Amino acid sequence: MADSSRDLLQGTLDLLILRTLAGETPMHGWGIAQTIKSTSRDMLQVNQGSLYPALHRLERKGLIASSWGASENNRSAKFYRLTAAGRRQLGNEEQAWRQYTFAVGLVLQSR
Amino acid sequence: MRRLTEFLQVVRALVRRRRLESELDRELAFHVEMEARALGQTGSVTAEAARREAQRTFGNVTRVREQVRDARGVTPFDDFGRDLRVAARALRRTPGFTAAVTLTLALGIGATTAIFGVFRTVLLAPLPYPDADRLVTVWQETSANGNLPSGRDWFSPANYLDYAEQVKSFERLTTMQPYSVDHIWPDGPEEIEVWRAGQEFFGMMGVRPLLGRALVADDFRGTGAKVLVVTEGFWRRRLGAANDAIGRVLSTDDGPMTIVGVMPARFELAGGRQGWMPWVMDEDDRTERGGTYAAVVGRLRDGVTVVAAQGEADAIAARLAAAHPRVNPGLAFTVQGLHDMLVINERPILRLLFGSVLALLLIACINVAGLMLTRAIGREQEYAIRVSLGAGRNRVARHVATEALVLSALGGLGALGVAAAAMPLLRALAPADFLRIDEVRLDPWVMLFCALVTIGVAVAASLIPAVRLVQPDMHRRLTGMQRTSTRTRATRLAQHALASAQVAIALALLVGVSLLGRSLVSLLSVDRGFRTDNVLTMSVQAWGYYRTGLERIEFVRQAVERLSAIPGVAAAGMTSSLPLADEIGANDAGYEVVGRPVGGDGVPRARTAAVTAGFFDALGVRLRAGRSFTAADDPRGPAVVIINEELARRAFGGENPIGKQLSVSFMGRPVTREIVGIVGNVRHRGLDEEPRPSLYLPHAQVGGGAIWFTVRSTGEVATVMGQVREAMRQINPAMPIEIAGTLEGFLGESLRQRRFQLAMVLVFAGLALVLAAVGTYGVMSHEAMQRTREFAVRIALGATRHDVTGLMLWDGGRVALFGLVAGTLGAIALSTALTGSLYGVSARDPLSFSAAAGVLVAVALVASYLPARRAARTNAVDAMRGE
Repeated sequence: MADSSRDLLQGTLDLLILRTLAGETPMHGWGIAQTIKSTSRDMLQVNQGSLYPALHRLERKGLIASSWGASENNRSAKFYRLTAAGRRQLGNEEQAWRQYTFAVGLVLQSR
Repeated sequence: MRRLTEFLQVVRALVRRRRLESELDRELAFHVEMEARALGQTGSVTAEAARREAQRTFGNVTRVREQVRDARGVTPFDDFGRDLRVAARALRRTPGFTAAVTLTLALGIGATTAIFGVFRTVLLAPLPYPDADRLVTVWQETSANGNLPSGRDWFSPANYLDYAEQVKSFERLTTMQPYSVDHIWPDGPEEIEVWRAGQEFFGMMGVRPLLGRALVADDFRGTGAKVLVVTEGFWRRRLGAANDAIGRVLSTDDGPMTIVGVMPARFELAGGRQGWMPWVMDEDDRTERGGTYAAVVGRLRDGVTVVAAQGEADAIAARLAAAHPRVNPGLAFTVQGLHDMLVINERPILRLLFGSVLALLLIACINVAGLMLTRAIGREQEYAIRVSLGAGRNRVARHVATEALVLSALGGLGALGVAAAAMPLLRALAPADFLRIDEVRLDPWVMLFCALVTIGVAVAASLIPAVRLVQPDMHRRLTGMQRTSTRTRATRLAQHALASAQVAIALALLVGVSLLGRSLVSLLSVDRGFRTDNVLTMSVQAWGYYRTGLERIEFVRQAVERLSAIPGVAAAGMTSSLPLADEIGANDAGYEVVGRPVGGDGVPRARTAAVTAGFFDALGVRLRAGRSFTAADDPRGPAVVIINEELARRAFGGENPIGKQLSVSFMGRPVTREIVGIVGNVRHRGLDEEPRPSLYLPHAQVGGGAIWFTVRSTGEVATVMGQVREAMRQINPAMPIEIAGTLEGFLGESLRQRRFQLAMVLVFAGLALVLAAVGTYGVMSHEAMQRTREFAVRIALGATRHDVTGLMLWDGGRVALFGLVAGTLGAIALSTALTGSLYGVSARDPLSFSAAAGVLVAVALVASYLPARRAARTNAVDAMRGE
């Protein structure tokens, strides 16, 4: 396991998944995990034990939808995409996250 | 909206569970494959090694799968399903326990459901009339009434007319009177018993006819054709349920009669009769104030209560009593709801039955709770281990509850079966005239009741063990694993209390049965004043054929002569009023002792019958003094009367009544008659009737009243039946004769309600006794098992097997003793409620109480002796080593 792996804050994984799916192309689970890993420069590694429950939880809440399709290596895979509700949710959570980090930053800078 | 989507997703997940599971497997497999490919592409490892590495980093697939399932939100359902499966498996492993609980519940709940079905249909369901709660009936009574045990009688027509004129509480008020017409069918003549009803009757009830029309205003003008509305039963039996029955004309002794309508069977008010004709009162009716033959029904105005109507009736009765003191002494009217009137016999029986069956249900519940408790104790270690391995207490408690749920579901289903089987049985056992018993069904209400009781029982039965499991001393039970005696003192007490409670309830029911049984026995052995063996009875409607009194007297003389001449007939006679067969209001007369002023209570009345001498012989009515009637007591001879002992006692005290004169008003003007004989008291209306004053007049001097022939044969009545019919046919082939049955049969019918009540309570008490015995046995066996080690130690230390058995018996005896004390209190309450149904036995009858107590002590001792003996036989060394 890479040393950079961190326990993601509760709820952060949901935000990352939603953000990753914000592009128009549907992605499968492995692809999502890879994207998060690479865009975070390998600093964030998503544990499969959290990823799939999170995907199914988001699907249950109607924030993402899934369909089966052919993968890049021509295997059948389950692809996820953002729903309209998911897009709205993403907007809300992004803003909340920015406020949160900004606030934490202010506290850390005060000396 | 969000919630709804989520909910639908969960439902989808549940419904398509299998597909989703396989999809998840594929999804996860795909992930592993991609991971492996990525590792393989780096080129440093073989494909096989890459796959293994990918699988390793992925971690526990099953756990991921479970987490996903959690995320989908189906876990609670899964858990429940698993609980169900586990419970079912556990119950299958202990078939004895499962069968015992299911059977107990099925019997207890099933019996309760069946009785509730009757209770609901008869007492709770409204009568099938619009605004049925406003329908009432009104009775009259006078202090001189010597006829009716309840003191309630129909109105006299003149009193009714005055009441109807003055009363304001009613929207409509009407009256009816029993009547009959004769018709000759191809298979012989029949007396068709009907009502003559007032004009308001059908409009007031508001029930539409099945066919044709009800009686209308035109029918009461008396100008058109005579019309008849018949019951559905008559229409089916006699008119072949034909649609063209309307308009059919029956020729009767009362002239041709057109059938204009058929009333449906649920129109209850036929009272065993076949139909309705218009009643237009004639002058004789209008002036009749003494004879009581008008039944009164009415519909109260909206908003007027029965109490208010009663208040008004009291005032009117007081005025009528003052206006006619001789015929209306102490006149009182009683307003009664129609439903209350119709169920007057059924209500107390049903209350008793419902009470008894609830007691039975309670025993069943206690029994099941005891069984569950015992089972829970036996499984405590199992649960303790589960808890210590991480199962939440709630989870374990849910386990217990699920088991109780499965058991009660089984029991509830069984109960429906028991109820479905019991209902036809109830219908067959119940007296024929039991109101609406035919309508009793397993309808949705009854099933709902069954379901609610089942759920209630499930909750109650799972509560005791579940509470115990959540107790905090779990670890102690775990450390106590090596020993069997993990029972706490409290548990043992609870078990004993449950057994005692069963004994107590069973005692109350047994006392009830014993009291009812002894009542029936005393009734059957009471001196009824007449014999019923081999007495055939027969009613004829002679009025249409012999219009004058003299013609009827001659007819009766001839008939009795012919009947007496039949070989095998010991005695034959005639009466206008047959014991055990009379209707309300019939055969009542006022009497005064000549030369003595009337007392303040007005003219006393006595039950009165016109008879021939053969009547006393056929029924074995004993002559106490004087003489019976002779052929000389005819219209030309001096007017005579025979009185019974009760009348002699009331009117003459110590004096000798023979030769004294009575003025008797029977069907017309008062006639002064000389008392020529005294006969014994006859329990005319039923065996539980107290002696009432009675008058017997020679039929040859009266010529009126109904005609019943009574024929006593030397052998079975069947041997003379054919000849009796033939003899009557010879006198008049057109006249209908109705073989009413044997007096023995009437007697049986009069006791049928008591027998029904007794039979039902007997069944409940029997079941209760069995359940209590099984329950006590269960507790005692468990006790013996738990104490095996203790007994072994005692025996090793020198106690004899006898001592050990004694210990157990003492335990069982104590359980019984507590039960008896509590049960005696319950039995006293029950028997007090029963007082009205008892005859010749006190509600505190010591014999009943001690017999019931004896039975229960015996049962408790046997139930403790069997396990005690087993426990005492255990080899001490084995018992201690086995631990």
